[in-house]
Amino acid sequence: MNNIALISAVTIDSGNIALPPGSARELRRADNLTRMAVAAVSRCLGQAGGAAGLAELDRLAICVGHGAGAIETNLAFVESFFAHKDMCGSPTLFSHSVHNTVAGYISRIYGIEGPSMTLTDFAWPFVSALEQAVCLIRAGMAPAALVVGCEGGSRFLQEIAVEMAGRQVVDMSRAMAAAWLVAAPGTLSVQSAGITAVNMTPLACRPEELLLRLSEKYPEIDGDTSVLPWGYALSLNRAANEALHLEKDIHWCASADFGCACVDFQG
Amino acid sequence: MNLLEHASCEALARQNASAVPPSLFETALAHPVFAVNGPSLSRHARELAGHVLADPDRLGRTQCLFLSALAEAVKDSGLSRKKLATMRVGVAIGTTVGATFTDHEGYFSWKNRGVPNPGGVADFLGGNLARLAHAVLGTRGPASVVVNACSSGTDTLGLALNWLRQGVCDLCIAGGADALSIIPYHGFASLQLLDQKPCRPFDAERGGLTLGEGAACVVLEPAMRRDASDKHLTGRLLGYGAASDAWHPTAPHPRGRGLVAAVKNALDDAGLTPDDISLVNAHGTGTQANDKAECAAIREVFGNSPPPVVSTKGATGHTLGAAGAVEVILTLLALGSGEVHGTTGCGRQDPSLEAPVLTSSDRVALRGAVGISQSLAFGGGNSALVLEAVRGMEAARE
Repeated sequence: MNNIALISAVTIDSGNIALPPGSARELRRADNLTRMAVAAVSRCLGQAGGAAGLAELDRLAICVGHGAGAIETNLAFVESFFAHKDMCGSPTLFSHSVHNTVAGYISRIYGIEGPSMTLTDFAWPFVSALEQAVCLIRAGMAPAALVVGCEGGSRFLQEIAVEMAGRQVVDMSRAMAAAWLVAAPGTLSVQSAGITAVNMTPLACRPEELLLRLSEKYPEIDGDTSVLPWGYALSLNRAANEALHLEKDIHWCASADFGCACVDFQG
Repeated sequence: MNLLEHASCEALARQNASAVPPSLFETALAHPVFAVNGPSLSRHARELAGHVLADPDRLGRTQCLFLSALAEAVKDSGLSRKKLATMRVGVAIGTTVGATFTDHEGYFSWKNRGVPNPGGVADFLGGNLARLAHAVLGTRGPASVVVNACSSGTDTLGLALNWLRQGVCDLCIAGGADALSIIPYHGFASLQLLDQKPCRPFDAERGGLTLGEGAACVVLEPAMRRDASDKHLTGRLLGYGAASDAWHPTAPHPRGRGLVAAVKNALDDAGLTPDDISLVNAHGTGTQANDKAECAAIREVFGNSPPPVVSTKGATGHTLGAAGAVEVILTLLALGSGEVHGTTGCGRQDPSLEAPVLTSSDRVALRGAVGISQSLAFGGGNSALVLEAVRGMEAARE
């Protein structure tokens, strides 16, 4: 099976959002989830800026994965139509609560006209998006793909998680985004690592486990990520950058009661 | 809905939309909907789920509709649970409502009174349709829930096609499911996209879309595993294409730019040309913008003499994440029968549309068994599938 080239890999949190120049008007109504995702893509493309041929690619694919996604925007929309005595609610909130809003924004801001795929899964949504990006490239549907994982943070889910566990075991209130650029081999002239395999195996579990993640294990990284529902994405991102910059072969694997996810890198 | 029953009673030629049943949700708005009559969990689905789910009645409406379609699809495939358990089975299901938190009572209990109720969140977490399929079938393999808005159902078949071609799994279950919900009902109303009457795709007097609900599943296997005489073989998925408009959050590109690319990509993928297509099952929502853009795209791809073009949403309503999968089956039914009914609800075509479509009184013989089913979505997504009927589905079951 052909390797897929990993060109750049970044994660951001709500403390380091830098939106792309000229995007302010396009993003004026966007929610936190979308702004985080766009900021991650901006940094990812910036990191890949030296990739010869990137500007000529007009058929990038966009693959987005999230768990709770735009739940806060969705709840705000629900509040808006109940507040207006069952009339209509806010059209802006509704259109931003649709699951593939993030992919639509990225497509418009960067003029990307390739296929897009948005997936939802509470297990490892960023790995789900990566798996689809690899699949689309191998199918010849796009020469390269932006892979995005994002969570907007939810105070509602945070308090529910505390209620479920009887204590704080996960912090659902914080937002994050990850973005990678991957490509078919030889498409872009730039230093890259290889992604040789992406595998996910779902297992049946108690629904609460998907939120609390008490059984989840992944390669540790600096700092305590145990309360972060997307700590796995930080771990996977570090593995990607070690493969990319230290030219190491890495087998990354996460496991939990809800299944396992593995990504193999060739440095 | 039972699609075979739907076709055999020629339900595509009539409309049965009504006011929102109070059992679904209460609303002061008067836009009609197409609601599924009777229990949302079929007897077959109850038997299938009863093996593993302690209380199937706790399932959400989208999950019930999905399991009903899944049970029917697996039964029609002729594959036993025992056989499926020996295979690597990929499951890709499209939805919108099925992946949305809908326990508003629980939310307002927390918001207004500070009382968190985890029950609704547990249902939200456990509502993953692809994982549910694996659980009730006892199968192992990849599981994806596609949330590409209104093209989700179409994209799941494309995703499954890629999995099969790349050897990721031996067999795929693809499809879509969505129940009627107060959220999209009020959402589309807020965008002023709902018709006051049952929708009238492509009609000169059309006033928007009408929401529906339903589910559809297909079982896909590599072509070499079934020969043409196999009574369970009903069609072939020949090609898939997808492209983005990069244009507007909710409106399609006025010339259907992304749709043109998606259809051309699907034809290329199938190794076919526009001349090989005998039927276009359009997205045909009945909104001003969709129908204009879609007809412009059809003219761009097929020229001045396109094959018969219909929309089935006048009979089913817009089932959102299920729509693409529902329409794949309706497309195969029409291709297999050799004729197609015109667009329910379209009495007189809007003369400003750039491509001719079949109106409600039309009934046209098809010149071949290959057609296209296409979808457009919020966010600017466009997808198309090239399908071939092997023979009539009803004949296949006799």
